[in-house]
Amino acid sequence: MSDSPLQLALIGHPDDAPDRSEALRRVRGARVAVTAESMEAAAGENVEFDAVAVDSSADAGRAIAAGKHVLVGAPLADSLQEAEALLEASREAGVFLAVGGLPVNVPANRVILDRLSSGKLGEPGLLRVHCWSGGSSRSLASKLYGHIDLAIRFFGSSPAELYCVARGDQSYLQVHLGFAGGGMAVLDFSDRLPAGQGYDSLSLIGSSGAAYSDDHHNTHLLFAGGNPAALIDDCGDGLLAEAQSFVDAIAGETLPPTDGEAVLAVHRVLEAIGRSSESAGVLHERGGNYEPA
Amino acid sequence: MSRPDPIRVLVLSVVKHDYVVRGVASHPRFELAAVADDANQPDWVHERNEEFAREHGIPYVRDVEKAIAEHDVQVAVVSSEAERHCDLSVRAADAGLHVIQDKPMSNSVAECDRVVEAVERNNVKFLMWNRNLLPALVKAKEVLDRGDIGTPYAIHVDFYFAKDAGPPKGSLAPDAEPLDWLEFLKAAHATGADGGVGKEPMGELSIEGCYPLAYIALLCGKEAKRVFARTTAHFHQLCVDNDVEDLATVTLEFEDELVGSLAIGRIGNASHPDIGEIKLHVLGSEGALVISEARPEVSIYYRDQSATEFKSQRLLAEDNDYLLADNFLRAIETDSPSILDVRTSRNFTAMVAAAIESGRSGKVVEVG
Repeated sequence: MSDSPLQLALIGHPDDAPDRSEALRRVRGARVAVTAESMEAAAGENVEFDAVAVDSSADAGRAIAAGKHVLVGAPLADSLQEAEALLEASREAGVFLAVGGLPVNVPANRVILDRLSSGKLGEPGLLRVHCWSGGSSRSLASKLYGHIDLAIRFFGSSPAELYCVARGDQSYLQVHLGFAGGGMAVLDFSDRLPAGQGYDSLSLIGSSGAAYSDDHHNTHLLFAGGNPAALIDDCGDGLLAEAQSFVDAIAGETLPPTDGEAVLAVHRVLEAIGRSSESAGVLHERGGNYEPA
Repeated sequence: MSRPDPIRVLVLSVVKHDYVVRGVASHPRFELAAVADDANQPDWVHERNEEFAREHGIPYVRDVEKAIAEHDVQVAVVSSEAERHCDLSVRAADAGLHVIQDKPMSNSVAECDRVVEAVERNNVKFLMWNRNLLPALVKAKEVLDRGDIGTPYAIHVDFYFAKDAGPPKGSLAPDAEPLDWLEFLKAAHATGADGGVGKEPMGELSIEGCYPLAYIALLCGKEAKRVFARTTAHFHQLCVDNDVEDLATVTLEFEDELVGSLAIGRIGNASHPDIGEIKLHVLGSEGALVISEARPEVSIYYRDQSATEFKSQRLLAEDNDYLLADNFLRAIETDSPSILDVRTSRNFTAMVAAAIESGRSGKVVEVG
């Protein structure tokens, strides 16, 4: 294991993701060697680097082709086929490919997962998520990847059935998942909030306990005339932990395998959700594929 | 100035929670006249009816039609087991009485249709008891009516009761006798957790589903046309043994672009410090609204506090009961619909039936 810090390239638009830039700069055992808008621009800087943090599948592909380890912000890709191709390319290139920006690494969700894993909440029964924001239209994978990943981790398996209702060119999505053993999840995603603060709420009901991670409980009040304003605490986004984990993995004695199956499991569900929203039908998992009942 | 005559009320069975009758009695214009039930009911039914009548100093009559004929009553309050609700309501309506009914309306859509027909044919008023006049719901309705969040396009209700219903699932010996629904619910009367008392086992959707569906009807004025549901007995052996759900999620699709969901469960005492999370999330074209149904509330903690005592006390909750009675009075006196009329109530039963069918079939089901 080398004592010299891992040289990182931060690819993308740092101004659009200041939290991510800050997290990467605070990682132990690594330093940001270069910040650039694209892989081509980073290469033009004539600076050596070992790994990159990127935000797009296109940049991830270029980084893999250049033999760099890659931390890509979720989703890995917009389609199952593209994700499969990137994972295959990373295997062939012998580089570590990790997906970051995941809700599972948000501090509150890590606590819930820990309590679930230790049995304190019993068998997971119901996951309820509201995830609302305003502004840009994003792909279905961009909106849903993180919380589908979270649902799979909470329930320990991919859903056995799913149903999605979409409205307004997918600016609103409501996803209903059923898991083997009776577990269920209802998740809704809206892009239609007025510009400003978004809203996230999550609860998990287990057979012997429950967890409520809800920004109602993290709200301060500001009195400045008229009705009080709500000030939402920053609950932490887990980016630093993700980046540290990525760097530690690369710095280890043996490079860990990319958990491609976990990534593909999410993409298979996303692909099925897209089909369900178009067909207005329930899809059931059979042999790894989702089919109509 | 003379005071208006009181409206005399016949209590048609009061075997489970009596908050409906007490709510009606809290209004000065309503006067309890008698309790009545059919003579062929089992002893435990008569005992509870008699106890209530004794407490209120009114007679108990073991003959419904005789009580209607002899006590000059104008309103019937039905709070029997759910499977008898509709029969008693139809008989009351056919006798020309306005009807207030405890929830759920019934387990059977066909039975609800009988009530709709009887209420409309006899031109009497109907109210199914509900929680739509709790302060938080009144506030939410004001916000929506003012147009603060524009036109709603999605509405979600979480409705969890953090109450146990007997031994946890899987906690009994494999060779244990299945738990008897009626006997268990009769015993639960002491804690007020007997909303599903009756011969027919009922899941949480059937027992409590009308409350969140009533919120949606109040706030959006629409009823679901298609549902997809997941249902399971996740918490309680009682529900496993009687093949009914204690946890359910329902996707609701309405006649237009509106989408909704309902998450409902009897999630056990350990799963919430109070009665349970009851929350509404509404998305509109101009904004969004998140409402906690329990508020306003005050939290109370003290040494040696019982583990089962709710630490947060709802405020103004009793106003809901008075306001419902007042709403019904106005419906009678102004010939206007009550806040939860007979057709809307019937349609809740249809939505619940469709959700249960969807939960069993794994398919989207049209609401009948």
